[in-house]
Amino acid sequence: MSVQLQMGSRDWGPPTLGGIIRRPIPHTGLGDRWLIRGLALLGHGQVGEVCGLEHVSPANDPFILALNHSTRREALLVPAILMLYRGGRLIHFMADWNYRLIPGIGLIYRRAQTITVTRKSARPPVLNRLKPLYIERLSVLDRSRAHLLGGRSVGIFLEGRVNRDHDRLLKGRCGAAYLSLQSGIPIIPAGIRLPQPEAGRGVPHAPLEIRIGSPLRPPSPTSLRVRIADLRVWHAAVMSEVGRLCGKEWISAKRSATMHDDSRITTRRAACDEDRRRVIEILRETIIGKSIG
Amino acid sequence: MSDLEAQIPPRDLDRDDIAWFVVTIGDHAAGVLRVLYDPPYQQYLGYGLKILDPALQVEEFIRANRIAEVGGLRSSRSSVASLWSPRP
Repeated sequence: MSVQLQMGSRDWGPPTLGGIIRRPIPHTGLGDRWLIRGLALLGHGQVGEVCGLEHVSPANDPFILALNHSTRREALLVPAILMLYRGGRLIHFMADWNYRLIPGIGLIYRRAQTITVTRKSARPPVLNRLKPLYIERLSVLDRSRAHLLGGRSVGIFLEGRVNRDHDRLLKGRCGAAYLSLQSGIPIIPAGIRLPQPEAGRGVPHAPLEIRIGSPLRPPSPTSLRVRIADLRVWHAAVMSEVGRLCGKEWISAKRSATMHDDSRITTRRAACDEDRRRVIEILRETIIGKSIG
Repeated sequence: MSDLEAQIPPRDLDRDDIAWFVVTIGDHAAGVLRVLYDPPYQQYLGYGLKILDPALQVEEFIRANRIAEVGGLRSSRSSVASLWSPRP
């Protein structure tokens, strides 16, 4: 799948060691400043080009950053790089509670003020005895909403778990679309790309590429009551855009379940001249007025 | 063909207020979607709509709410169109 970035997007090459150490991080304390630098240094060589950073600048807060999830390391590296770029301004990422059991990671998540999700079980199951320690009074959506309404941005790995499939996205969770429709706050889609070797498996520790797209503004008026149909359409639009950015296909679960085995529906935003030519070809073949529905 | 070209000028690809989507089924192009965010009131005037309920203030409604106009067209090719049928 070809990707053309928005004109005018600012690209950021792999950060140099000096750049990581010298970049000003004014929006956080000294300890957190060095935590961010430390993580960015850890990720040195593991993060390649970052495109579209201007979309996640602090001036655009609040937004919902929606990403795909291909490897575990990106859950630490991507937030660290983004926070470095944002001068220490946090994006509150959702993260599974069981990662907080890992020494060091727990500290990082606490300092990054992640939104802890307690839906999954721990492995080994005996660790589930610790789960009540991480369950909070407010739901994940309520805590996310509170951040957004307070002007703070939220980050969500839409697929909900690591997806090592190089070609397809998982169907994804609708939380980002729900929050966006309810609050009227835009979603910033982002795709994390891994180099693809011929064998189909990822190259261990190969540099990630991060491609951040233009904001997707919710199409319907803000309402506390979100219609399921609106949610599905908005979720599909978001997943399709994330798919375009990360180079994977997204297939609507409902559609794929009712289609022939060899047919797959995808929706992709037209972003380059090749796409535009395709739109024109389809328009030429179209029966005017017949709605896709 | 030139009229169709005018439907989606190249600058549309970079605009924030309009988005075109290509829908495919497998390898087949199946249709297109166009989403127009915050359409101008002038556009609705151009449609020549007859308002059945005079109490409905279209201009006010458009200004007070966040509107997106979604249009979809399906390819007429039968081999593609048939795939839209649910599995028996």
